[in-house]
Amino acid sequence: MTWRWRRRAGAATFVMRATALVVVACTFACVLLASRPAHAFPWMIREGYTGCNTCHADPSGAGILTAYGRGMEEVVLRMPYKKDADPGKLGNFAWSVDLPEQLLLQTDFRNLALVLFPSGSSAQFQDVLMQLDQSAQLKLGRFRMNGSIGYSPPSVANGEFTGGGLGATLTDAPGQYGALVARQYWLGLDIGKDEEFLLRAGRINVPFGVRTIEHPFLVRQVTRTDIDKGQQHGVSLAYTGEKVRGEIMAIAGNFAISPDAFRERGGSGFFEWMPSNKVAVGASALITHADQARTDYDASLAPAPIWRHAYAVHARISPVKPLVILAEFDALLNSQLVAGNAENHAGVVALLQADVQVYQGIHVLAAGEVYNGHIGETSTYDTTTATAWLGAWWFFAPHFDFRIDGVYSSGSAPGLPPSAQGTSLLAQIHGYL
Amino acid sequence: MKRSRLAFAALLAATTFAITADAKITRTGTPQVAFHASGPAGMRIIGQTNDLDVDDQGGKIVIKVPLRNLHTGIDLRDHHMRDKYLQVGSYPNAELTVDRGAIHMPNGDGTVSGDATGSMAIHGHTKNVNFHYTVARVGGQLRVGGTTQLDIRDYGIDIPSYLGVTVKPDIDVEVQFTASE
Amino acid sequence: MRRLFAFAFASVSLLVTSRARATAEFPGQIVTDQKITCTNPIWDGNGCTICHTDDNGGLGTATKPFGRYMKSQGLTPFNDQKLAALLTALQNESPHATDTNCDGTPDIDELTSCQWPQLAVDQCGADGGTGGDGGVPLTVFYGCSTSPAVGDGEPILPGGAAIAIAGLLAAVTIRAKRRKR
Repeated sequence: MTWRWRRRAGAATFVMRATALVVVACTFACVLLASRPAHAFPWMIREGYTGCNTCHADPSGAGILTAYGRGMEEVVLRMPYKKDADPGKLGNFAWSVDLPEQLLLQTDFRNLALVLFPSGSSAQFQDVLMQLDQSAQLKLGRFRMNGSIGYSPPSVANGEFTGGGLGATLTDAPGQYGALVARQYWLGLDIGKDEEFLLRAGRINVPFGVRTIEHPFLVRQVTRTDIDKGQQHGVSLAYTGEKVRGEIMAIAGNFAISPDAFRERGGSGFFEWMPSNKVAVGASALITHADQARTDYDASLAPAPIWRHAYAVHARISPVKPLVILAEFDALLNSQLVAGNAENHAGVVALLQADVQVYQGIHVLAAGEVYNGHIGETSTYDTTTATAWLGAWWFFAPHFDFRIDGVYSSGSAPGLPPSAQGTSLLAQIHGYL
Repeated sequence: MKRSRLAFAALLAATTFAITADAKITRTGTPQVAFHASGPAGMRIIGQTNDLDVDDQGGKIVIKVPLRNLHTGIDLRDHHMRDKYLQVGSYPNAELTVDRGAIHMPNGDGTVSGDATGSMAIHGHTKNVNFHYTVARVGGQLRVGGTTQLDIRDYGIDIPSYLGVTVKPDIDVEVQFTASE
Repeated sequence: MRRLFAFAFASVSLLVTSRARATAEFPGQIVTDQKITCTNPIWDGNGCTICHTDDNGGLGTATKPFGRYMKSQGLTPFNDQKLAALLTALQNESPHATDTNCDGTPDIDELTSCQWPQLAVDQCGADGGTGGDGGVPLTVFYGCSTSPAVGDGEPILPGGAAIAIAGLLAAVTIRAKRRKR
């Protein structure tokens, strides 16, 4: 009996063990904060990667990396210390683990040191453990299960419990014990001869605009399409081809907020044309309805039903290899009926970002944005907010990067906390298994 | 029908002429050679080089592309491509050999396009290929362009695969160069 | 294998949210903080119904206008400090204006003059234009069980179920692979 048990135990496949790890990863309340998802690099177009699905499980980008994506991070992203060196297994999970090809695992850690200089207030220093969460994907044939889970610890501001990831928490938040955060979880089916289509159902990043890691960008906050907490529950169909790619999503609402009156229902779509491997231009559209507008998000709105529109054009261009230019221009419309009267607010928000890779692994980036959500209105909300962003990013070691940013915002915008007005200095270190 | 074919042939002959033994072709300027490969779900790889020689051997024209400087933009990928798959140390060139008479040239300033067949040698293997060409005469210069599609398996080249991403065996090749006669 | 299933289910159970309780000492805290001297402000011995639907309290029952207002201003269970701050803010209104139950008397005046039973009555009625029912804008809650309407037919978060399904599917996969061997 003992000998038979030993043989069976010894013969247990790595697939079984790794799949068991997925069960643990996907169901265990993992540690620490999960408020800043990683790996959304639209400027990878400089390497000829116009699409995102070769490196990411999400065909529209961001989130857990494929094995190829991990390898490319070592080959083209990280600072090389030896010419033409083959990274071998350095890109693997935990730097050396050969996972079965059906399984993706990623554990992310990010810490932020932040100094705020809010307008009219004294400087504030914060040290925030921004992220330690676990992502996983299991692919069986053409069927996929994908999810992430993390923890957002509580913090105290002005005597109140606050916390990150609000809008993506599984448990009640904010609260004195923090919250479990799960930004993405979905079931997917790869369709097509080359698996060029992906049909998904679950909680998914909204397909709209340029998907950047800088989720505080106004184009992302104002349209509520950031990858921090802007996900929605719904069904999406994505396509990636050689010259075009896109995704459409039927939005069923964000079930991590309540009551139901606040949940937006509608649709979003994203389309991009890549005439060469260094140019991508696209357009997006988002239309949603909610029974009550988020006045906590945008104080200019009335607590009444709302149709929210956003229409964007965007481009990613790498005219020479070191330089990538990202641009997005969004037209906005918030339409409400308040006490029988139509209240329509038209606005615009635009982003221009330049990323220069001065040496492989070292980036210098600059961005500018402008926002006005009440164009032509005679109201106190008809103001223009401009932001300027200057940063440097160093991918200094396998699975590690360090980044510093200086950000200035001239005013307020939906989704931006009051403390973001003024100047902020940020220093982040990120690592992943 | 027969008369119209004869008329067309006469018209073609009037406006073009096949390369004769007296017209020696010599490459000038900076040529551009590119191949386009694709991977799963939209992935694209473009390889490029500016190396190309035209060798006029009398009855045949040999277009030779040295592969040692072929690049795709990523050093490690170039290293694998040249050393592991193309084995340029042993097979340094890709060569297309074409009969002179298969290529039609414009009579004066003008452009002629057509299809022809040649013999392609890559990686120690030789295979006939069909290609499309365009020749534009501007002043004394010929601007030549050509495209063809190859299956790398026909040339004994292993299908490249890296970290789960496999390149499709069909590649498109595009060549542009200028020449003088 | 049994251990694996047990662990999976046990782990999923960790996702079950612990339900928050009402703060029973809040009514007494109001009396102390506002130095209420009129007779018997907590008229029924509990005083919970100025915020909650009944004296049992519990998650999702603070749906009276005054309760919803206080939550919208950031009041959380057991947070005496926040309660005091909000009461001070109401006192500091000049003149007193916040009247969440729409009976014409400011809420802070009803509290300090022992009109708690009146404060417990919602006299705003349904309001299709100004948001929420009762004339007070709805407050957004984060998480799958904090909605005041949970249990009243509201759709609930399916995320925990999705993760549990994923875990079960993975466990089934393990079992199937073992059977193949």
